[in-house]
Amino acid sequence: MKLSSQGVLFAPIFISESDADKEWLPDRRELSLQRKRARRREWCTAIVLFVLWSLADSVLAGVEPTSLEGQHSAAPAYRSLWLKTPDGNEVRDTLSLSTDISMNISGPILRATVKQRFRNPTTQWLEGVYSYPLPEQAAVDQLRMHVGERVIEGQIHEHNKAQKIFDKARKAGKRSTMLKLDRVNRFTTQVTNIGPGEDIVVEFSYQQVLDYRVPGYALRFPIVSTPSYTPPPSQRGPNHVMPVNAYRQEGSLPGNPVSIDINLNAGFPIESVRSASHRVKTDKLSDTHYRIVLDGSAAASNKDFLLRWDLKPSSEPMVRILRQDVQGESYGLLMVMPQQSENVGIDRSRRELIMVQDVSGSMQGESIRQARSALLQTISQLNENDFFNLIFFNNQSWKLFPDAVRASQNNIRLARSALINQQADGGTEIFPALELALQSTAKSERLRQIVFVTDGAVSNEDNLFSLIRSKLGESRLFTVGVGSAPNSYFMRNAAQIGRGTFTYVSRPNQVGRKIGALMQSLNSPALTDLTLTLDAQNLNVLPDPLPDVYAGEPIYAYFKADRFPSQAELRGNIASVPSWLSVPLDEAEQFEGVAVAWAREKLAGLLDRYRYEAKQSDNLPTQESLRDEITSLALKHHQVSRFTSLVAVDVTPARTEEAISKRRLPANLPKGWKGHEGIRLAKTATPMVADFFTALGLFFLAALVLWALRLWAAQRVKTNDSGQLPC
Amino acid sequence: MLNGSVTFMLRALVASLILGALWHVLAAAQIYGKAWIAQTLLEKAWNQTLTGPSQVKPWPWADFWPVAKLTMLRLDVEQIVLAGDSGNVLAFAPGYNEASAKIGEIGISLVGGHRDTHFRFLEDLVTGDELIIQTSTAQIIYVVERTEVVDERDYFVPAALDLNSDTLASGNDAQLILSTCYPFDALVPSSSRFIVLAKQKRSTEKND
Repeated sequence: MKLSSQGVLFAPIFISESDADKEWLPDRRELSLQRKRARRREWCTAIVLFVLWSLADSVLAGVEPTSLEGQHSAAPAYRSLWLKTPDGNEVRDTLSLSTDISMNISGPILRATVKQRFRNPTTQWLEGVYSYPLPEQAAVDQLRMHVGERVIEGQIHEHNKAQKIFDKARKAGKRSTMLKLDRVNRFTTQVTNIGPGEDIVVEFSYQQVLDYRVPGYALRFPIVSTPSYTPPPSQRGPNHVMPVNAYRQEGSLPGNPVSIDINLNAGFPIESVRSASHRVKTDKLSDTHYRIVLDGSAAASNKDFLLRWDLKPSSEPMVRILRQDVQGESYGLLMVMPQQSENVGIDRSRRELIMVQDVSGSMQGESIRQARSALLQTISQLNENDFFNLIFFNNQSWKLFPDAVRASQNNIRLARSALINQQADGGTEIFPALELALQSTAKSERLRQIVFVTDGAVSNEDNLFSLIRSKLGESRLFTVGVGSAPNSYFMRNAAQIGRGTFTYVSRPNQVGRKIGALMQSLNSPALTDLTLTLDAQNLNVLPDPLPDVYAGEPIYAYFKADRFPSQAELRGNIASVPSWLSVPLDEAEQFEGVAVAWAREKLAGLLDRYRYEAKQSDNLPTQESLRDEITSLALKHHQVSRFTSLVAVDVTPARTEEAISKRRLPANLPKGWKGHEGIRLAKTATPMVADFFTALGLFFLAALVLWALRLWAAQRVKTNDSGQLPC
Repeated sequence: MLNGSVTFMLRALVASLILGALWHVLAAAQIYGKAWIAQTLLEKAWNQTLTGPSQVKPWPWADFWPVAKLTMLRLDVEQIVLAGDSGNVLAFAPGYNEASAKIGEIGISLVGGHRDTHFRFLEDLVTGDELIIQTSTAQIIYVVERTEVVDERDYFVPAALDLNSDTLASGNDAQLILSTCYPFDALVPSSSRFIVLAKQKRSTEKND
């Protein structure tokens, strides 16, 4: 009998010689008929074969240990499929990179200079591409390329033009660098024509306005970027950008050494300075002035750098005014810390707290534990008047209760056990989860507060923002970022559009403090309907409108005018009670970078509107004019944006004849990250063999017992024979 | 009577052991049976797909549909491939991951299958073997380049390439990865995967 075993089911030992014969190529129809017959035959003998196959396999396995495993254990350190040269050879990180960051902080404004050194140790001409995140409020406005002793200053151009200049320079063999915005807070540096054994240093500067929350400032520098889950094509927005980096394999040593040097000028007396993420050396120069240096470098470029400095408590309301005059225009930044209202709570019976937890695969490990303890803490602070609900999501989303319920003992117990038992697995589809959370209920008079806990590993941010914008209604969205490298661009903006706040929890022992502060925000009335009045002409105040301000947060306002105003007046409502504050502006400090801060805020608003307009695809003229406005503003302020890039080209050609190959630099994976960018392989094991062996074992046991029973019965008959009376 | 009750209990034990054994045999047979019967049912839906309509559900309550047919002549394998590679799909047939490159297009197409049933045959594939994938619009012949054992936790396949973006040297080939669990005879699931990497046969070689 020909055992043309369908191979699928019965592996190697049943394949006959003739099957392996390559010459044998019958007509397809005949083949299919043959196969059908074979199948029928096979099904009849399936059980028998199954037993034989299992036994044979287990015997073989016993005799000859599988050698395959050893064969594959010498795996390469980087196994990214697209890390290849055109000739098909796999490439390791032949191009290496080190980064030096120096930061200058003055009050709420930070200016940083980042130096990326691209080193080419090979004998080939190389082109390096490196994609990296920057803080989401960062405005990149300067680029310099160092070739040996020479420094080439980068020029800002409309993106397509910049690309053309770069391509032309590449062809001409000139060393050149382009810095472009890849996706919202992710930038890409591309350096071409790096000669054999050569170093090229790319230096760029950015500026950001720092977060303040009582009692101090927090700085986060994203050293790694969370590989984002890429949704299937049907759910990608029109502006979706594919990720570029190759990631280092988990377990391999992080490379890409980083050094950080910070000059901190707080403007107010500093109480303490510390980093929750890295070891730092701090040098106290005065009460308000510190120098901070990262201790050791390469060791930990796999998690984001965090620094916090708390200010000494003061009874005075904290006010900071910065000013810059450029070409007949005056720019200003006003920061005001409102005095805390004492113990005024919101009406809890009219509040509904919706907690949303990300349980997708990217949350595996440390992140899910932090998220879990954050929500457990939130739940423990509910009282019986509160209404709440719990939503989980990965590539699906589901509610714990069909509708919000009272925080009774029993409901809380249910929620706790649901939280504790939830494992992280699957993709991250935030869209349906947000939709579910924002779904308005019949009880619309309630204040709905949504606490959304995630690492934000998404790449379709724009779609999500427009969803929040259209569905928000009277709900408020508070995002909580967990893990070592959450996508804070997404979470900050989601919270801003959702008129709530963004909280970042970086370590388990911070959960208590951070969530406590968040709950205080949730339970205290916000400062709403804020307006700023200034005595100046041609005024432009940002953000427009001013957002709600929660307990413990300052008000930030940026403005531009013909002449610097002398007086500012802030008005707003606290729990529907009007209140106001008047600030004299005469004592404003002169500060470089206020114009950049204003432009950055202006651009952010315009880009938000552009994204929104891009959704309503029929309104092309508005899109065009917005695009032009963004481009000209970015060009004027020398900023890298969605439509503008920086490019630096060396004048003298370096490469004349040789070919060039392009490398992606592997980025470090965030600490605790288990998944990877790209598609994961499916789970393809079944318990079939295990089931079969269990059955075999059970049969064997049954036989054993039966055999013992017989033996025992026979014994009993024997003893009966030997004279005892039967019972 | 003591002896009587002991005998009874032992008999009950034997009965429950046999019942348990039968239950496990059924469980194993169900996995095998489902995989085997489904292919026959899918054949019909696939033939329909070939005549024009797309997304033909093999039975009314199914939430998947056939997208391709995988043929390996040497090992006499012919399988219908479904859309998606989640657990409920893989129980019936190998599944094509829809986020990966379209079959036959530049990039890597990913098809997964159960190691105990459909994709048992992967371990017999050798370099140079030809895999034929028929879609509703084309027939692509792939040539096996190599096989590899990888860890699911640190191996990932790039999503369909966005040709507009500045993609780097990934080659201009249509590639195929077949993936299944490894080791083939393991009793419990592990994170190891056995993958087969194949490349589209060049059109110039087609006339051979």
